[in-house]
Amino acid sequence: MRARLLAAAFLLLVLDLPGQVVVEEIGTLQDAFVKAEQSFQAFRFGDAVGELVPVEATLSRWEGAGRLTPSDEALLQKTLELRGVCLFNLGRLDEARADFSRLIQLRADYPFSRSRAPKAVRFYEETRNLLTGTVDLDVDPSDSQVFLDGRALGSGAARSIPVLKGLHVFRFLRSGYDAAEREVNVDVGSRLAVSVRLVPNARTIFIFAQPQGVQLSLNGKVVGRAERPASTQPEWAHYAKTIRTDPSSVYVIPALNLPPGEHTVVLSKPCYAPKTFLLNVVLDRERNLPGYVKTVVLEKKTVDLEVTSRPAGAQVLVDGLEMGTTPLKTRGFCIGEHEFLVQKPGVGEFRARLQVPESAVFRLDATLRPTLVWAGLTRTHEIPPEEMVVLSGLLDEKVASLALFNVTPASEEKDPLLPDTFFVHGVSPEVRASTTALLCERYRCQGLVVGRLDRDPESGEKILSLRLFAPGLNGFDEFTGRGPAAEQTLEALRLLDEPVLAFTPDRILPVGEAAGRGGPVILRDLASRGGPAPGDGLLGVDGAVTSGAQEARDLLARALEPEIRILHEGLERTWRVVPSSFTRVVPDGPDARKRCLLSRQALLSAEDPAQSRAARLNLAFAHLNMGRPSEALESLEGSPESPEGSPGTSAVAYARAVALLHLDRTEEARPFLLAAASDRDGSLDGLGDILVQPLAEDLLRQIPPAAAPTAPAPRN
Amino acid sequence: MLALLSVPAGGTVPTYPPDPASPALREPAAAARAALFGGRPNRAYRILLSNPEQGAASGEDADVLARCLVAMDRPLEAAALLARLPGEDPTRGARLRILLDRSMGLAGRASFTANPLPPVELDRKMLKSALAVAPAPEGGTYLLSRDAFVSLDSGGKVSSTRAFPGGSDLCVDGAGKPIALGRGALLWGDRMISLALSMGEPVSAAALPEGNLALLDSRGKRLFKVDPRGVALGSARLSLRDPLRVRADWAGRIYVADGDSGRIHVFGGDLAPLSVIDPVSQGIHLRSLKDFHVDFAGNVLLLDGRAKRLFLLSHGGRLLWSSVEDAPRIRCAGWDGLEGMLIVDDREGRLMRIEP
Repeated sequence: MRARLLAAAFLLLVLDLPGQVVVEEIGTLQDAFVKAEQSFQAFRFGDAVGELVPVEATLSRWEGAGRLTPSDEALLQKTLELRGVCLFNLGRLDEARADFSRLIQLRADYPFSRSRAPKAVRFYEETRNLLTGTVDLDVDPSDSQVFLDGRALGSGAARSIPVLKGLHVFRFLRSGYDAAEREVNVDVGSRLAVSVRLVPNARTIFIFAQPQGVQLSLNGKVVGRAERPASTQPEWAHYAKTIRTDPSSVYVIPALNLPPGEHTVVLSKPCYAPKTFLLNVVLDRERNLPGYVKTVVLEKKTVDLEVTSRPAGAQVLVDGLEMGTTPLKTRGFCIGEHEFLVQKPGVGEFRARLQVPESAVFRLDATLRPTLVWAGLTRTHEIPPEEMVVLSGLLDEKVASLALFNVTPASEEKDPLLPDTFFVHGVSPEVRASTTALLCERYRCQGLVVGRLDRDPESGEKILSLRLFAPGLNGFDEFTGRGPAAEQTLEALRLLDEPVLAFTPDRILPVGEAAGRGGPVILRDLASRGGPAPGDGLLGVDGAVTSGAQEARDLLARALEPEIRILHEGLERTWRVVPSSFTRVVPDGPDARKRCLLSRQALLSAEDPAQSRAARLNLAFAHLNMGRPSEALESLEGSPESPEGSPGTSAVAYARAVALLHLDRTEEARPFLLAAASDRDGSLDGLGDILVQPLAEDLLRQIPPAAAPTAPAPRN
Repeated sequence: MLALLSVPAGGTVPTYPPDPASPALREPAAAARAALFGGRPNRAYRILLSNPEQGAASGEDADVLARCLVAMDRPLEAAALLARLPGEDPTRGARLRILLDRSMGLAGRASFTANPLPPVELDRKMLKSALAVAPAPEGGTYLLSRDAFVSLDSGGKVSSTRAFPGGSDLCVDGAGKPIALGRGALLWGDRMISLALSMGEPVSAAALPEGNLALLDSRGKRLFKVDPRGVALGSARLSLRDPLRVRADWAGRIYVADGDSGRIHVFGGDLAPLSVIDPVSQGIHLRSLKDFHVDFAGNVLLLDGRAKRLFLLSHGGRLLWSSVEDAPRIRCAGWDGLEGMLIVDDREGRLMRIEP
């Protein structure tokens, strides 16, 4: 014993680890108690008392210092009980009474069980009667929880309990009821009755529904499902009979402890038309009987499903079941939420969880798109965990509905530190790259997206960073959103999903206010597409009259495929702006990996030379932006001849020249630059906003002049 | 030839899009301005595209980019860029219209309106002897005679008169400040700048957009680039018979008129020759080129001093419009490069504003 105490003291001195020392001491005390119990069972009461003295002294000291844990307290109670019984057996009654008194003061309702000897039990009870009165408890409902001065006493079942002399507070709790408190003043030997009836503050409602499996949402939260028939509980069966329904054919969803007031109830099931209604809950303060909602029957609804894809010929799977290949038409398709997968081997896939509404036909035009694995959200120490949990839930929901990418969660990954791999300093790029490659292979994805929530120390704003990694591509793209509220940081997600390789109508059709022209005029030459010429007046967009350039720009920015009215050489005519008929090339920007993934997909899905050329150019520029000129050159191999209205051969020639210059192959670049510089109308972006000619001329001026041809050697 | 910009040394050629391994340019806006006004608009264009801040298409970068597009003779693209710029600029509408007219080639507008301005508080003889006229800010007018420089307010009242011996040329800079050339001295706004004897016999001066001046020496047949203190930065020899006037546009291109041939010679900011605008190619046979002006986009206004007529030509030499001989009888004309175009009617002895 001494050796152990010495060992504990040594540990206390050597290690500055108080937790370990306490554990060691408790272990020592427990051992001493066990030894005392053995002495007690061997009728060596004196030895037992001696062994319990240091245990009691140590625990009492801790109690005085206020560091007694619940387990220490239980040990102290058992020590006082055992030592009291030993002292009683040794005839040292005053000392035995002192230990029992102390034990009763610690816990008046202590279940004395150490000795069954009637004398000892009587002695203990006499001692207790000198210190306590009795409280007779009667609580309705009886399964409420009862606390005495903060200590749990168990359920409110009717019983008598000893309580120390003095003022005490009883507290009664039960879900669905208001909490109640009673203060009692107990005298020694007195008997008090405490009878409490808790007041209900909520009510349980049983909703009867057909068919089986109907899901119940209350105020937007799913709370249950109609799985059990009414015949499984007598009161449900009784109610079913009162509404003249067969209890075995109707199903019950219990909605427990609803607070009073209106609740929005939605009953839904895939393939069935959902029903929504308001439920007004009124409390039954007297009897608190459950409420019942008469059987709600959902009606089965189907639609005609039509699925097309770009490119066509893709396999369609709905909820894991193969439906055919695109273009696909099928009848009797269930409304509700379904998991769609449209895939074409070697080309790509379209994954989405879509709500099929009640209508005659549901059409899905699936553009095959890259798939990303969502590796989850992490946080810095500036962000409390609960804030991250809220945003994480939002992100899990929103990433699943991106327009540019299919997103699949990394559901099989159990490592909570996985997202940190992509943010923590000290993790090498190689580790990130290999983790990305591993996860992309496991989830059959083309990229990985991961997030971190941080706080700006100066402004206090929250910052969400989403990082996009792709196997085989160095580095990452980062999309950030910030704001005082976590929801405002979702701007990062919008940036990730921004269709960077598509034009918007306002970009296609710049308009301006030219003095003396009396309204907005068009500033782009689209005459070759049957569209307006520069200087034509813009009279209206989608039926709305445009009086100013800013108004026209706003209308165009909001529209998808607007029909415009123009005044061309005194004649009014209309033209529809179709952004998808313009192919956009983005030569530079901070999102090279995103453009790389999108243009790879676009190349695989390209259905005509214009799309193929634009995709190759985009891919080449994305590689150039990442410092991969060789891959850029490879991307341009086999680029088709320039079709009308697409970025032309001069753009391809220029991209080739830039890649060659990045590889220091200047002489090979020269002919491409000369070709590019000769095209006055060529542009990199496909609309004429980034001109090829001046860029090529600038490079020609910078590279060293071509070496003069070597003169032929004179003939002898 | 003046070498204002040195050709970059060897090594990696800076491209658009840039090689991520190459270091980023420290002050791209300043570098682009230097390249543009040094006669390298293509380089300025590349620098601005490579500058990530340019994506916002606002502020100084967008202004320089629009000038680049003008310099590269891309009026429609310049107009589209100007239209996208945020904020209110009272001159933007005029610039857009002028750029559109150029890009669409609205040739053959034979007519224009000349609206008389309020009678000026000057002796009619003095008005009829005016050498040059120029629009001043807020509807005012500058007048130059052989001996004096006069400022008039919008009501025609004289707001200041300055003795100015040997006055020979008058134009305005981008801010509307007058640039008047006298004997051995130049008045720029309120500042008088003495010109060194080494600059020969200057007959004309123009403000350049970067803040310097172009000065034309008729005796030595040289074109000088001069800083705002009058210190020569460089010069180029001209092979013209009669160097008459020098002007500059928004993009820093310099225009020199040859009084003998009636041609306009266009030079870059590095004083390298770019092109020649020949009125004869449009069937315009000037009897005597007396003066000319250039707008912000490089359109050229010629004054035939003998026929008393005006001709407006695009930068490409296309006739946009012209006045009729002797109606009005134009003695001199001034232009702020936008919509402020003034003439002095020799017959009536009146100031008139031209509405094209």
